[in-house]
Amino acid sequence: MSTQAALALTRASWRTAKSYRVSFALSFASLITTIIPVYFVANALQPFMASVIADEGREYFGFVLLGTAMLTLVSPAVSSFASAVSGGLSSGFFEALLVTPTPLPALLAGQTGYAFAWAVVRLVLLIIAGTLLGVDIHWLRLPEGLLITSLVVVAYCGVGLLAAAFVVSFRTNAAIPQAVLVLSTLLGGVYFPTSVLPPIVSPLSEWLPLTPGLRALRQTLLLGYPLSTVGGDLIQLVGLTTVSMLVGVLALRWSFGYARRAGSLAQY
Amino acid sequence: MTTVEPAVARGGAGDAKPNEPPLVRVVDLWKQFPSARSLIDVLRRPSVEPPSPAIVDVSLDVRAGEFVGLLGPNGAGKTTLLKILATLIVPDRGTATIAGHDVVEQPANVRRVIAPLLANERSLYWRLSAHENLELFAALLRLPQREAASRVSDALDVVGLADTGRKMVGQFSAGMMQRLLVARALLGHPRVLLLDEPTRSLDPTAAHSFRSFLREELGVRRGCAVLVATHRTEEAFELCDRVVVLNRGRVAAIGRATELGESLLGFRYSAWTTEPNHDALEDLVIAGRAHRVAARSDGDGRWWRVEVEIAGGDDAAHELLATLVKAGMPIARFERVAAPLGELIDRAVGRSGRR
Repeated sequence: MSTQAALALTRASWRTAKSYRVSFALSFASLITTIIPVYFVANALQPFMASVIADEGREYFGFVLLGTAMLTLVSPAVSSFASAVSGGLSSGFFEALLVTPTPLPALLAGQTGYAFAWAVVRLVLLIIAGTLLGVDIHWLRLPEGLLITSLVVVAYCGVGLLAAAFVVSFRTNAAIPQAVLVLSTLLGGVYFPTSVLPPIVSPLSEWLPLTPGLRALRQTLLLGYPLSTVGGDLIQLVGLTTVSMLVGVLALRWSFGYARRAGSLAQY
Repeated sequence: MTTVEPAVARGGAGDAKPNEPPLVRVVDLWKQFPSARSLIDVLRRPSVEPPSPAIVDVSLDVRAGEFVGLLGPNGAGKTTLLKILATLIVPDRGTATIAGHDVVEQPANVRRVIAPLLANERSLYWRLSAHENLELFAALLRLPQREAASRVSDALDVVGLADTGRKMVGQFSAGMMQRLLVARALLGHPRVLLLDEPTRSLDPTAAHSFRSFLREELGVRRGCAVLVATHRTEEAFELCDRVVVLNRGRVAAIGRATELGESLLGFRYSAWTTEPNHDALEDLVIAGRAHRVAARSDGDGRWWRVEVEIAGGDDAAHELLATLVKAGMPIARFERVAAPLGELIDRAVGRSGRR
């Protein structure tokens, strides 16, 4: 029944988004116009990047494609919880949700479901476009790829929950989503391998779930390695995911308890 | 605190049921919010007196079919009390139970039987139709799909939106949105409704019909217990069986609005006359048999509406009217009127001595 509630919220967001027809159509168009320039730039840089990315792939376009696709999923994981809570608090909608018998996790899942669903659609379209443009993906490694992708997304959901906890307690996300997204884009190996990072920021890069996640994903999907070969990155990713979710869930629980005591849960 | 014996029975099927246990029971409830101070401020002035509590030892019962109004100046604690009952705020002390479930210990059970109408129309999806909005909340209320469809249709029908159910909510008037919020509240067949100024965005006509609807549908047909925070005289006097006047979080007075008005303000009458300063009336005022409250001209300055408080009620008023007429004071109309809510609250708050 909680799933039904979450799906109903997601459907409501979908219907709302669909009602803005022009914006809806443009968001599809922008996706196509994004991938084409990336394709040409990546091909131009291929001679220079081939040796640099050798541990994670052969073609630079495929390398960037997977980085961009993963970032597409990471973005809602980090931002959507805080946005949903913030928007709901300011409109009073969150208050209306909280007095229903639906548990909080289902409410949060429903409030962010559309953002995730849309991100998955974008990801699929990116992968299809990439494949059509010549990216060689080892489809037999898809289950391993999905496992790694899920772990990365869950890890960033922990960060998203922490940001939502800040919104509930202090009415600000403390720039957590922005900071994490910028750091992950720059240091997580989205556009270049983390092996080229200066030694001073390398340790920081290893604390970002995107770093081991993308490394493992590329090795399985672009190079066709089995999961056992990427075991080190996988363990690192599982560890980061566990810690991140633990911190996120505990922070959110504490923040709701605090807001209920402080009377700020339904202030708008 | 002023207490007038609660008049829970008012005739009609929607009345309170005094023999049944109350649906809402609040006992010695106490809530103080932590002060929002910056760290620097705390270091500078560590011994600042804590803010006044929002709710202080409040106790009240609401029975099935009963409407209880929460009155009081801004900041009196009305909304805080409603939010505690809605499980949105945790009290520091005391207990509050709804249909036997404790709001702190069993919030999930409480949410199955309450329907708070605290949020405004912005808590609706404006780009969806009324029907779609209700479908969403039917799912959130975890109603089985087959039952949800009939409940949505019923709720729209009850609030008079059946014909416009497929229209986008953004195109609704404020009154229609308010009705949709009520329909949303009714979806789960709640036993207790918590209403925070339910007619604030309605014009007088719409507000009147809305009150009639609330009384008929919630009180008479469904036998709900209803707590309504309001600043409107009509709601306190026409809709509510009892009112609770709160001041700085404490119960300053409790009872039936008209009876509270009589006990706090006396019996109030208005007389339509062309001679508001007639000697006979002046003599009665000097003799202490009447207390002049206000005199207002009807516009062209010929007829005046004089409001007087008369100790002793209708019998004394009858005698006073006879005296005035006998003395030749022209009176076109003489009627008993309800005391304005603001004055009633002022008097109750003043008498509780904590303003």
